[in-house]
Amino acid sequence: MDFSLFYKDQVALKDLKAHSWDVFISGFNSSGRVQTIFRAIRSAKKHWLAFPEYGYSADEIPRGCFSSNTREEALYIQSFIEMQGVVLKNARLCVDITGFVRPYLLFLIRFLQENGIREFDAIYTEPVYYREKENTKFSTKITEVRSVQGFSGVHEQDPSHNVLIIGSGYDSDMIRKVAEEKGSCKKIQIFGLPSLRADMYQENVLRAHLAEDALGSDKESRFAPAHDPFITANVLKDIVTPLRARSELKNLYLSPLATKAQVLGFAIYYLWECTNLPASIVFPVAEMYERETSKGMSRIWKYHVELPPGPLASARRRSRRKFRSR
Amino acid sequence: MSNLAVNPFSVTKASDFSIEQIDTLWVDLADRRGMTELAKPTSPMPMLILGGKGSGKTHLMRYFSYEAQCIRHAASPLVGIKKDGYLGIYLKCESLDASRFGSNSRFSSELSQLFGYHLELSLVYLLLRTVQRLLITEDTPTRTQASMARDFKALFDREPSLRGRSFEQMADCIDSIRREVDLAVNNCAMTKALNVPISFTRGRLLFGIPEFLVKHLPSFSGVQFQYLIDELELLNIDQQRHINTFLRERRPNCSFKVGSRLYGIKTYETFNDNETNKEGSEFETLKLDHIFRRSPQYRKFCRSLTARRIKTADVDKAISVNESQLLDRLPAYFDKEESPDQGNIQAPAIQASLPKGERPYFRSLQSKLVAGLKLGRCSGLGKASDIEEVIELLRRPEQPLLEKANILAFFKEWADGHNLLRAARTVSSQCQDYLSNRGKSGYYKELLGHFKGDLLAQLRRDCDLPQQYRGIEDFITMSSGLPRNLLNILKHVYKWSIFQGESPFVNESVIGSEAQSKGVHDAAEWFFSDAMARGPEGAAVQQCINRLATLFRGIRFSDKPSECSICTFSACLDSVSKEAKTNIELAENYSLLVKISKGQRDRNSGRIDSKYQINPMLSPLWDLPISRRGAIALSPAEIDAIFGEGGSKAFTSLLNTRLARMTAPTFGKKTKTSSAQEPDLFAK
Repeated sequence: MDFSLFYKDQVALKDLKAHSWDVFISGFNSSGRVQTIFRAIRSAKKHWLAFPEYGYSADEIPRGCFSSNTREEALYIQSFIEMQGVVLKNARLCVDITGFVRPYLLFLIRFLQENGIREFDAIYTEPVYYREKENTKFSTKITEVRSVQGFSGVHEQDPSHNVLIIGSGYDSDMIRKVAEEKGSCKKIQIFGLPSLRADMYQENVLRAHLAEDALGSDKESRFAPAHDPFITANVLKDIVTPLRARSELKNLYLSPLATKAQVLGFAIYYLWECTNLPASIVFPVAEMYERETSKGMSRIWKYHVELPPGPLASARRRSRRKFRSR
Repeated sequence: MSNLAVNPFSVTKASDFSIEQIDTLWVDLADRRGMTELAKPTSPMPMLILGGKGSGKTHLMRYFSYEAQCIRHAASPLVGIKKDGYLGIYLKCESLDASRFGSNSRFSSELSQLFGYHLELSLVYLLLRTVQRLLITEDTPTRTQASMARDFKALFDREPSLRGRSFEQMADCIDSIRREVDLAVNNCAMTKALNVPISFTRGRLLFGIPEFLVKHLPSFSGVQFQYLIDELELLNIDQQRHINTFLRERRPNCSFKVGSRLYGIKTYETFNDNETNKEGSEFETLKLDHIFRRSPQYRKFCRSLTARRIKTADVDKAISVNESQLLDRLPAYFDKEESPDQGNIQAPAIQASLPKGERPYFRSLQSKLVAGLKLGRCSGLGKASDIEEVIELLRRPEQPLLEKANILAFFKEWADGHNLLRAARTVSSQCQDYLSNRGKSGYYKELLGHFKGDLLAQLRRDCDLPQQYRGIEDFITMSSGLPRNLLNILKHVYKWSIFQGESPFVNESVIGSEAQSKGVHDAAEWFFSDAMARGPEGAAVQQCINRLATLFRGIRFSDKPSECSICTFSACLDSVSKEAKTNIELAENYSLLVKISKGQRDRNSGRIDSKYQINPMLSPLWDLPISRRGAIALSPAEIDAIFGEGGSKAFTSLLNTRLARMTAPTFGKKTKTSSAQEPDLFAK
């Protein structure tokens, strides 16, 4: 799969009105980037999701906004779909990924896949800058590193040739945690280059350097545009395919810690290429996230995401066919 | 001059090593039979191998694994293993992806049960693969194979799908069951269903397979099957109970070595009637960093480790000496200023750096005397010329260290309210006596002996010189029982040495003081940020350590330090706040504080108080000593101000009160102008 063939557009805020969808889903937080887009989008149904990691009380979130205290992404997303009666079948769907907490975003995509959604649009809005530059704080108290629900593979028990690919963002604590947890893996970092803004690459590298010791000596760096999920997916493929061809990869762990656009790229790559491999997406789960980390709105991107059929749904169909043919 | 191809200390984690490197870079403690005697790989008693981050747990456990045994007995692994008396099956908890079993509230009890099942399958799979590899060249009779396959099947409650009789097929059979579990667990969040049939009773395979191996294969008779489970800290309480249950239910020819960080043990409970494992009955403990700190052989171990690293990195043969010669020469590779301990009380580097004109410490003394005169706190001094006379009496221009000692002795007299002119004359005469008769014991010699390190530190600060943490012996002291700390210091020192254009360890080259100083500082910063978990808990403990170190620094550089070489405190922790207790415990668990096992007897009550030293790795960040001598006793209120919720106000009050007692001209005593001030929380 050449992911660069997927469609993406840069859209001006005023031009968003030219598009319309049946269902729009967005993660709520205090960022102007998220709220402006929510207002500007034309959709028959619009859904806000308030994630517990932002710590909003009931009176701080908009009316009708879905909220739940569960920190299990599967339970959260399934409850949202059931309780809000979201009809996905044949719907033109758009997801603003900007304000999502990563594991929920990942599971939502996996959920869509298993529920027969083969394509949807994703919106990502870039900030002008992060509030405290390279010292911007994103998360507080990382409690554990775990695989994201729906993204766990069946791994080999061989301790050699394990690889961890980290989409390295500003949060050095997260990089450090995941690198320590997967201590025996060879580590490959993907940095956002071109970055969202010129100075963000340097800030990114400065932050990631703080986790240098945890990354160990067996590490290398690669680059993918911070705003482009499809090139990110291609870069992942370019890393993994030769390693597999040379039998230098047994277990693969992916950890998308950078921009939400890159998180989307990791998800797309996993769902298209990794579902039958000993591969998992792992994430350092934090207790809290900052509600507002950036200033201003820069470019708005619209990605047209295409998904392969869900493996579980396909297996169910196969077994039904088999049953009927008997 | 060429350099080594790579930094010999770049890899500091055993998990980054290949199994060949585990063997090549292994250095043993020189005590009797070394680590083998301590870790007892042939013992049937399970063992918890505990230690701080970087204490060498993983290296030790991998060294006892089958893979490393094979390297040591390359000619005939089976014979070698029988001779060793054990077979090590190494499992890293990282590979279990254990968090999957705790992240779904819909199926929490089922997942807990499945974790134990999955763990047993993982261990048994590794055992069978190991046996398969071991017996690859052996010709096992067909009848024996058939019997073993029969025994294997008999261990199951549900007939397994075993396609053949070989160990490879047994391992494949186990792997296919494990994969079923994995698939079901991985998909349960999506499918909202979790139905995994359990094929065998807990422990049946884990202990049953070694039993039939011994029964059918004489090569395994007398061999202890050691399951080496590393990184226990990655498992939650419920998952650790499964491991505890295995420890409790073990059979005679099977045992466990379980590696964990100091804080990693979350429970000793089991699923066996909720019984709790007890040390001495169900397991014994090996605390690696405690052993290293106490062992007289630790220094030799560290030097050997360093020499082995250097020699192994010398792939281009840039170093002409062999490992043993390199070991002998090791101290000489590091530039080290001659210590005043060796009779050189002139401290030439300091003398060279002293500013021309009045020396800073005499300038400071003069201003304190002037202030004291104004406050009426200079007994025996009446006019400005008296101050000149005092200073002249204390001068020893050729020996700045003695000038500092004179001033300290003078401050002690001043704090006691003695006549200062007479005190200066006494100190001057004591100094003269000391110079003329250096071997003779006496007050002055004792004072100098106790405070020399601190006086030199003060002198270096007066001269704007960095503090001295130099030479392999200092670095070993700083590592404080954690070999990774030593490797990290050496890694940074090596990096800076190369940056300075030196050729470290190659022939007669010497690593200069600047590279050492910068390297040590970088390593200290790394340790301070790396040792502690991030997040609010970590930040709080870091703040506590910062306060403690600030207090120690204040004392060390005060006019009249209450204790020499201060980096240790003692306290009765019975009545301190819960938060302070927690923070001290966390700091100890993460090795920021080192607990002194004997404690400290309280001078008044005779009670034995807890005693802690700030980890010497942190000393360069606050210019503290690396070896402990004196210890200050802190009251519960002071402990709360440093480690508790008191905040910066309470700490500032403590710091000011403590330091005032050591600062001229008032030495903490009330003056006419300060008597109206509010009483201080920490004033005695």
